[in-house]
Amino acid sequence: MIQAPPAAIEASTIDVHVRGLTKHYKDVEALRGIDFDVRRGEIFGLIGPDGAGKTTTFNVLAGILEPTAGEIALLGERPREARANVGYLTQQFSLFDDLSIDENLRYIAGLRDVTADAFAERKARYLALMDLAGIGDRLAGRLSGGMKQKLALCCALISEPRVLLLDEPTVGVDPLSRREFWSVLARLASNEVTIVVATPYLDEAERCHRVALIYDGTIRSLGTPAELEAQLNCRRLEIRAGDIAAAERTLEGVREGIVDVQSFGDRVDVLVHDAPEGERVVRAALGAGGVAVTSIEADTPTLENVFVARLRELGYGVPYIPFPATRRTRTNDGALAIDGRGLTKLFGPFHAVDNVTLQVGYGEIYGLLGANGAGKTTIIKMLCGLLAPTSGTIALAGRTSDLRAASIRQRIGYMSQKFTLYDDLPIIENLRFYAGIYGLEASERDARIGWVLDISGLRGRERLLTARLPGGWKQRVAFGAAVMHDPEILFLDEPTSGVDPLARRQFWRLIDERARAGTAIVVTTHYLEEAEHCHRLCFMAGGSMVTEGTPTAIKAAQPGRLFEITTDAPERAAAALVDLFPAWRVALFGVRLHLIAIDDGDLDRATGALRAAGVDVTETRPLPFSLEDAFIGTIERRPAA
Amino acid sequence: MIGGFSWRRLLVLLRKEFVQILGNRQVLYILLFPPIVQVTILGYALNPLIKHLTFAVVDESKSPASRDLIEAFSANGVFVPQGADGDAAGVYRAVQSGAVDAGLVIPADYAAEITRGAPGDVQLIFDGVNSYVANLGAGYASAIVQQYNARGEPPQPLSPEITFAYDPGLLTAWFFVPGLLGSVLMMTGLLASASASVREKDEGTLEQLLMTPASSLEVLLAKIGPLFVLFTIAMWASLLLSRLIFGLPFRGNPSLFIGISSIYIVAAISIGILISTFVATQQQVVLISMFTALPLMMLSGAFAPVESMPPFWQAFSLINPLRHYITIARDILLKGAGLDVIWPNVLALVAFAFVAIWIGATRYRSQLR
Repeated sequence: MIQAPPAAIEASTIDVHVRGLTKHYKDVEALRGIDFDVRRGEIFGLIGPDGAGKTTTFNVLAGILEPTAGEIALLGERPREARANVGYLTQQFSLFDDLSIDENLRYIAGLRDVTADAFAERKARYLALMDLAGIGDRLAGRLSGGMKQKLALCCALISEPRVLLLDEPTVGVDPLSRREFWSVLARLASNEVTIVVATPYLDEAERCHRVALIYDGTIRSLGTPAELEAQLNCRRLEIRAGDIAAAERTLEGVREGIVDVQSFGDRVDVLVHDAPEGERVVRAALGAGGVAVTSIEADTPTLENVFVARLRELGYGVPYIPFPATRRTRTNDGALAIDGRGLTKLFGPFHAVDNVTLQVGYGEIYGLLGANGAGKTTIIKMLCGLLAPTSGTIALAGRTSDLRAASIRQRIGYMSQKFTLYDDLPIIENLRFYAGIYGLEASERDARIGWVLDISGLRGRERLLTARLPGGWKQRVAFGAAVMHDPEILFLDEPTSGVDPLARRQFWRLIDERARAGTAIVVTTHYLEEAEHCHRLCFMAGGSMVTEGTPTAIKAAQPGRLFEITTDAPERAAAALVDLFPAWRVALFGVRLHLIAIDDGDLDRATGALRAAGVDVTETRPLPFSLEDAFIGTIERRPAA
Repeated sequence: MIGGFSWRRLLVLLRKEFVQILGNRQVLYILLFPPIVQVTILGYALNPLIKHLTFAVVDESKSPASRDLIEAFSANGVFVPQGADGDAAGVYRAVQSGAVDAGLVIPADYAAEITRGAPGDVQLIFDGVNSYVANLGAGYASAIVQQYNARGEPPQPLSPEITFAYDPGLLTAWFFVPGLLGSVLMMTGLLASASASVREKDEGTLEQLLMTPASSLEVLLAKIGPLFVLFTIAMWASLLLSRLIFGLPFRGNPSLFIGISSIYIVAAISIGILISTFVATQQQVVLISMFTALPLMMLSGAFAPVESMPPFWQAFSLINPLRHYITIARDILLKGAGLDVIWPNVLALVAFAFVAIWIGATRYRSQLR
């Protein structure tokens, strides 16, 4: 694996040139004059909150939208003329579900005038690169989300474009596939393919050579991730404490000496100007608040810290507004809300779900985690009665028969993975519809609709057609619509998929709050750090439950000790370590490597191998296992089916 | 699964469907225009008025009475006489070979019979290979003879062999408009309702809808609502235009006809919804609707009389709502019939609507994969 770090591109050619790009829609200014250049072989990241103008930028670069003003050149040509050398991966799956992998590729190759010889050679090469070789006759519709995205990337690559435009290519893709996807991108870039990519996953964005933070149609920060992190001019204190939520609440109350407080799963990040002084302030505050501190470590800020802090500075907030509940809080009396036993679902000979038993009490948040195609959605559909299990029993809210009865449905909320609002209705009509169909009283209805508009920041824009909302905003309205009738049992299938980091935090505060009010919640997510909010969770693979437990128990059950290794060439370092250790013990987290050491000498062997490979190791430190480490380890340790 | 019906939920669902349809101008036009435009255009195009049939005459009578009759035949431009060609056998050959479209043989004793006050027999010859021309030609001929009789001076009781129960209006657009109206309403009604309800499946909103307390019946009735209003408007407009352009008579009770048409529209929409529970995508809807609507139209009597079909298909047409509607429409509009005559057909339509909605509602929940 060869890597070309950005600094190595000397006297580089500018492949993408953007000056004063402005785009006005009828009543919205989507872009207000943005400038950037992308060098050949560079991975250029676009990050920003939902509706910032990222997709508009892509559509202009791809030649699909005519800009209102501005100078745009790709490979020295206008976007429309450059199309032959540009590959564009849009947010929607752009595959034909009823064509096979090979047929999809052949179709795109035909459209793009790829010669038969070149097609055969490239197909073999890219399918191998994406781990899709040997299943060329499988229908695209039968692929899991992650495989679909990799195939879509293959389709975009088949004409060997010199510029790749990728609009949120890894949304809805599981953590393992996402890692592979980014390794492929790194390899392409080292072969002088220029890549512009948008992503809501900021750990991924760390792997870009440079990133631009877009907000409200303007670029607010631009530079390498390290530069942006340095610009923040802060140190990050990683605080681990007994009660994370309490620690966050306590620290948010501190005005002096703390720049920003952000919670990340099992830890709280506090940005401070001076580490020792900050640590003193934090310890004092937590001590006064009665929160036990496990550890405090100082480090450089992450890109996610930058994102959250910069946007808060700019006044972008996603407010947390408590749900206007009228129902009395249900106490957790030990009754089971959901009791599924021995659930099995066969699709033909295929075991989508295989003998899964799952019990959730009132007030409990239960997380279903797993790779794409592991059977999470099938379980949810069986539990909420949309799909009859092949075998197994289900009890919902104490009822075992007639789970489709209206009285049961009234007590259930469901947010499916697919977008579930009516695109051709105005937002307010969608909300009125769901409020009406669940029979909310007029006074209750207005309060709840107002609440949804407030949490989604759409007050005053409620007459807007739903189709015109950016993806992340639709998601917020859909979430609101699903909980509006205050269900006792709530199923959320990837609620935070494609939602920006600030909005995700808001979602989870709301989910926590609903659980405290006694709602039983089953949730799936590909953000493992979010899964820390779950009271209990399970990892699924191939339709079976692999591990189940509290986040703490699952992390504690991991073998070995975890070390974080920071280097100057992460891709090359990962390749070197994979030669030395089994795959489950080495993983890339952004630009840092995680190594699971079983024997005492493992860390030394690793650093030795890295030096031998010419990689400069800047730092190694022990780290507690995160859920993501546990997930990758558990799934990769599984014997191949 | 029907039960727990709630009017309030139905209203909520109806509101949603109306906002969706009214918000989409294109769909509105696509639904409203075809019925109106097709009925008027096709009413013209399919108007079976034929002119200039060539016509060989053998006048063996050679009397003023026979010349009078020939004159009556050629007067309106439908038949163009092509001289006499010897005897009856010669005319027969000419018709058979296609040299002329029809033949008229007036026997030698024609004048004598007429003068005697007896019915004068004449022979009309048509080429049955082209049954369409034969039928219509015969119709015209009989009409002409009737008119000729009606002139009455001198009293000439001529007996036409073909008798029609009702009206020369049969030979104009009147006959076609009810059939067209029924066919177009069936086609668009089916397609529009099937695609409107399969769209929910396509876009994934169906899952969400199935998770709400709304019952299948409520959901289906709400889907029928706005389409029903639209197609009722289209029906009114089509009838009005047919009246203005073709002078379509309203011999029966107009409100009876409109009431029954409404039942028919509900039946057409329900069949579409029923179809939607069997298919997964919009594309399949279009294909299946074509596949369903075309035979329904062809075997309905809209374009060819049911009586001319093989017995099996005649019996089969009894489960075709379009057939019943056309019978009703012709009976009310053209014959002035009332409910006492058409009630079996009305009953059939009501049954169709009920059965389709019932099966649709039962299947609605079980259609997720």
